[in-house]
Amino acid sequence: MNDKPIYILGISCYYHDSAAVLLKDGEILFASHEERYTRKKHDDAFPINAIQHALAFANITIDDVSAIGFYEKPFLKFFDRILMTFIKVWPKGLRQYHLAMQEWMMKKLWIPHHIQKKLNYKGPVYFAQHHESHAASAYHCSGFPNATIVTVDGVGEWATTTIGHGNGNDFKLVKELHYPHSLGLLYSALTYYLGFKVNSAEYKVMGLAPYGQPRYMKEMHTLIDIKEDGSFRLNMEYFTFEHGLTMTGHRFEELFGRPRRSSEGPLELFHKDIARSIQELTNELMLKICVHAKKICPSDYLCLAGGVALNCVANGKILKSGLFKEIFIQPAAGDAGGALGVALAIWHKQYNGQQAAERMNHVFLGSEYPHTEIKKLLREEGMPFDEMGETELTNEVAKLLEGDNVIGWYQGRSEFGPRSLGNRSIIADARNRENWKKVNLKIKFRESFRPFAPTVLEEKASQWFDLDRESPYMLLVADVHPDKREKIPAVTHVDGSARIQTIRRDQNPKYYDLIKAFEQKTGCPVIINTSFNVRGEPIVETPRDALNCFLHTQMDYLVMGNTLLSKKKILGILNVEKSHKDYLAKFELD
Amino acid sequence: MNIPPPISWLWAMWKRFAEALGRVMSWIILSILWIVGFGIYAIVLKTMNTFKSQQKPISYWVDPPQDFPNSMKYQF
Ligand SMILES: [Fe+2]
Repeated sequence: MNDKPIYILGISCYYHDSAAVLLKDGEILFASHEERYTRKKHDDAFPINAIQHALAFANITIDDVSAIGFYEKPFLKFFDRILMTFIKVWPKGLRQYHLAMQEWMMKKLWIPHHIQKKLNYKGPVYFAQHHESHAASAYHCSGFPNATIVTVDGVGEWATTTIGHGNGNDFKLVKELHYPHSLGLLYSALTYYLGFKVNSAEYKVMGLAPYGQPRYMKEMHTLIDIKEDGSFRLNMEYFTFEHGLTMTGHRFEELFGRPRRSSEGPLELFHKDIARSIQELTNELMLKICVHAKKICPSDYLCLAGGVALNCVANGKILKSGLFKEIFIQPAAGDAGGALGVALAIWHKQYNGQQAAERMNHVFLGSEYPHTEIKKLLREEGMPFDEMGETELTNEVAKLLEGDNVIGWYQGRSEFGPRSLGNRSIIADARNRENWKKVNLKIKFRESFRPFAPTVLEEKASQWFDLDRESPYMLLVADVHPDKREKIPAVTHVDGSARIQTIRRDQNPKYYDLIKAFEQKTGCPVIINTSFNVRGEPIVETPRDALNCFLHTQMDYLVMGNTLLSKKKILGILNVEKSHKDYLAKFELD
Repeated sequence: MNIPPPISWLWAMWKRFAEALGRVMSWIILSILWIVGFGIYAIVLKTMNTFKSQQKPISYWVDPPQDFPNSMKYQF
């Protein structure tokens, strides 16, 4: 019998958010995004750095990898969908055609060749359809024995939305909606119209929505025809993304009576109302899709994936509807999660893998940097720091958290997926309203309308929030109990809701212990948790990235491993006001 | 390629010219393909669509393409 483990590498790249995932006998060993290493947000390059880190982590070479998977089917996408779309929109779309032809001819049609050449790999390369990858990433990580599956995103090959059914070790997609009719693209079109960056800043629209009223529902329903079964078609007279390099054109502007907002223009009530209206439409549509999905693929369990599954407001509505007993949303629901999905699909389809009985428990699947490296860096940079034992550090940081200190918290392996969940986080006291302003304007350098997400001890979550289950990946929005809203103003949105992360000790002992110690001091089991980066920067990866971000912002303390740095002690050697401008200039605004 | 330093500038210029020529040529070839290949196909399809009945379906859901054996081995 051959006892050699089976390593499978999943890759997603050349669209946005490149990533690599390494499985060992079906278990996720390593998962990370290329942007974390290249420091280019949403980097779409071949994830060579992420792959090299994965192999080093597993202590193997490429020759030990049994199979490599790519998260979509390039021929299907190009020859079937993209070329057919050019024919459909002809004679429009000449410029887009030239760009696409060069991109596809030079790069995207040569995936196996690139994989073999860049990795010196000689084994088999497999392909899954884009939405199969999304579905696999949710179903095979859910721990459910069976499930209704819904995937919704911008577009894959043809599909933009799919419904499927998982049973045991296998799943099947049974219905789909085709491009250009896409909820993801509709949301992106509104993101574009509101002056934010497409494929990057959709979450800002979601954050803006509670400030407005759904005054534009009639116009929204002009843009889209929704059937009772949740299927829909966009009215393509209003969109330009099929043939142009923009999402919307003058007809769209005529419909709403205003031109598109410029990227740094003022945010008026009109923009907030638009954001609220598209969010309401998304909630309504996602719920309808799930009702229909449950009807044709019945199960008590729901698995969600695809970029739209990152819309935690809509997720919260589905949960609240009581349609399903349990919901699992893949934490890396966007295209990076496709790398995980295709690897799992290969494991189950080609190697007869068994459906895991446990759900994916955490996302700390990236690189880890040893404590010696952290200390070496601090010494080399002449940074004064204190080193402490774990309990002492926990108590000290819990004490510092009280009040208005903002702390960079850097520990262990980096997170897979778009959220920082306690290893690459900026943390602060959620009870202090001023922290909301301070973190937004002096540390993140971003628009002040966006709320912060709280991390709460899982066993205390229901006492503070209208939530009866775990939400370990910050993918559910629920209301803060009315009597608690004044107590944690820095994480309570204007509509009384919060985007919640619950934490259990087995998921991240160090982070859990810190919040527990904070609770023992203050009686509050909730803190602010936001990603460790500035606006436009990928989440910090290495100790050097963390130190750079700390030094160039107005963060008060930095905790890396068991070391503690205080900004006060180094202010003499640093001019933060001056340096943050140079630092920010390195990153493209989102 | 090893070029003696006195004429290496000539080689660099030739390369730049060749790249520019390549870009122009590919633009011309792609444009011809756009007008002739895509154009004819598009006109035929649009004409055929004009005569098709435009009934509104009761649902927009469609069946996914049929899976085939070992489909994961292929890019289509
Ligand atoms: Fe996707």
